[in-house]
Amino acid sequence: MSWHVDEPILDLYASGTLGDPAVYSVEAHLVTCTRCRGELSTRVDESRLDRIWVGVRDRVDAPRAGIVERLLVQAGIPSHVVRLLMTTPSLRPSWVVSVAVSLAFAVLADRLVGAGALPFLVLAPLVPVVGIAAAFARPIDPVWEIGAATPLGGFRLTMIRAAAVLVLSVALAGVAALGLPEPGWTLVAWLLPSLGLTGLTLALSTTSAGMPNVAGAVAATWSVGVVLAEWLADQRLAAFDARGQVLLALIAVASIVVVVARRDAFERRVGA
Amino acid sequence: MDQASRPSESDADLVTAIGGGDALALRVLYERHAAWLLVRLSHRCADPALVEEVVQDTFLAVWKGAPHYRGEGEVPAWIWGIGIRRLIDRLRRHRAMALFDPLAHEPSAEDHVLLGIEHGDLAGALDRLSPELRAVLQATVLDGLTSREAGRLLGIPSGTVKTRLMRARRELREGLA
Amino acid sequence: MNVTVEFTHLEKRYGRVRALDGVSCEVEPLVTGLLGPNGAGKTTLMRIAATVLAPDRGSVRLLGRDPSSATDRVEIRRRLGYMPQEPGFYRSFTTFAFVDYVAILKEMTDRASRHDEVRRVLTQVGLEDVANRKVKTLSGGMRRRLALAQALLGDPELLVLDEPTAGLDPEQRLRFRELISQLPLRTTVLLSTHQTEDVSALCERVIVLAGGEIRFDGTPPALAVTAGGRVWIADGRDDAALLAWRMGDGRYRHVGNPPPGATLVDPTIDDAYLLMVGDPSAQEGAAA
Repeated sequence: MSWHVDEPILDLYASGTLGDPAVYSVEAHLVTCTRCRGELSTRVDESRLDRIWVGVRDRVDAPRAGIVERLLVQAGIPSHVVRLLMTTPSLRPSWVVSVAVSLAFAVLADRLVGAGALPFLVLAPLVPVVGIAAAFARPIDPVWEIGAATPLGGFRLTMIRAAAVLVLSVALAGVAALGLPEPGWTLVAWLLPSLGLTGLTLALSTTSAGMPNVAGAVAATWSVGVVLAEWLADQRLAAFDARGQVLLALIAVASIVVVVARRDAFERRVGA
Repeated sequence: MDQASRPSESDADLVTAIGGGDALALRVLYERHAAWLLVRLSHRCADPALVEEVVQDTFLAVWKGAPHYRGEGEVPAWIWGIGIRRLIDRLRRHRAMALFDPLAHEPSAEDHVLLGIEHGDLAGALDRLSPELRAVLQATVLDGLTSREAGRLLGIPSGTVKTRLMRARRELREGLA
Repeated sequence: MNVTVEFTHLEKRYGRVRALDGVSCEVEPLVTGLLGPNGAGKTTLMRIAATVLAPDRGSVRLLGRDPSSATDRVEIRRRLGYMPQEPGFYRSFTTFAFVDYVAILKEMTDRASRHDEVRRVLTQVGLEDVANRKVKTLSGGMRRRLALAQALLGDPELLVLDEPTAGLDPEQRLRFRELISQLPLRTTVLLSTHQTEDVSALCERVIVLAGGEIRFDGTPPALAVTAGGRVWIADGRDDAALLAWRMGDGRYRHVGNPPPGATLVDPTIDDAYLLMVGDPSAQEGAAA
């Protein structure tokens, strides 16, 4: 390249006082000439360029927020809480999909076979139980030891994740319930049992039994209990009547008390 | 900004590296091209804060789009294409002030002389065009925009862009003849 | 003496093995090395110091607080940095995103200042160039540095590092030493290692832990001195020694009980450590 822009012209161009035809000439040239671009750089305010770069670098480094993350932030949840949730195993799409499918099946069973919403009502409260078991199973969280030494790790993180799983499960079940053939109280009859079973699972996990065992025990007891109640009382969906709801509500409240009192058990879960 | 400048790597090499996730290469590319981009965009939009945001957006787009860059045209032209289109998007959305003030850039006597030496009659012919016709020429020929994009930048319908372009070319031809 | 970490009669048992058998010591705002053979003792003590594990018996005071109380524990953790021996990561996270996650767990809720702090610790350990790479693409040495970086978040008063130099090449070791020496003076560093060179290069105090007991608690030079009179050099190998090896000049260095008339030499920390932990009878006594 034999022709280069004269320095006085570059000065004028950089300061915005160069006239039009010359501007075109310079700009067309700059696209192809490294040397003149470099010359121009020396005439631009470096701190301005640095400031712009910091903005670029921040957005390049920052963890990329997926769609779900952005939606949750829009919904008003603080962005740092959302980031914590993003590492909860049971909030992964695969789990959400399998839960949605199971619930859909239960609803379908009801519509096709006319089982009177029993499959759905038994299944829906178990969804958060399974979700929490998956979220807490220690081998699944490789970062547990680092997390255990942090202020939020341990009890508080556990509760944040449990709450997220519960909310998501309730939301999924709520949507699925709309598909039940006989709407009415069955739309919400599973809600208190959800809370009760979730609380019970958390409370029992403070014992030395281990989360998977506890979750399994709760699931089994619930399923058997529902069937048993129906058979004993000789009434459909006996477990979900007023007495049943009250009982489960009491279990939920008692569980909360136990969980808070035994919060130590959620920390320092280092294996023997 | 005096980090390793990787002088042996061409811009295309850097873009390939950026496509592979090399953030340092992005830094080097930035050091080579951010300055002229800033100045050139400032000649199209008088709002300095907006221009800075567009430069930032442009390099972010380079970061994201580097894997898809297939070497179509030179890297500076590619960067300019991203930048000017970002600017147009912003101007459309925010209806920002003073997109391009055609009357702000009347050539000075000094420019006349300097350009006369380098470019002969063309500069004179360009000079004799009205600012509106010059703006259209700059947007389409120099900046590489379509008539629609040029219209968005200048705030005129794309049909008007086309007619002005025809007039500009005709007048230039007559001026050079 | 400003005591920041205090262990009193700690006991911890795993089944039939007593990992800690009545451990008591006081630690100040210095760099203290915990030296000992691989086994349950060191990591158990580090985990207790990091509030991740509770002892079966005995009391702990960290930064003036009692970790058995839930509120105190959170307060301790706000001033604590912990690098576990086998740290785990979210492998699909980028380096930056991972440290950012831990920073959130350390209650750094403001995004902008948090990102600045993440960048600061990454630069401190020399990982700023790979901030955008996924953890699974990092080498083993880089991952150790990553584990160290998260421990440095927030400039903790108490830094508990379990085997921080394991798997580091000599150059990385040097950088690590530089890093430690540049920490604020008020920082208490408790680091465990089974390599004596770390102790002599870095530590102002050393505690030797073997068989669940503390065998030594003092300065590195004082540790070396305990082997005084038990290190000698001879032209041939003497099999009665506890340990003997051939040196560069062809002679043999021995550690143990010297025969009469042996040429004694000044002991090093290595020699003292070997004498303390190389004695099989001492280790047997600790097992239930």
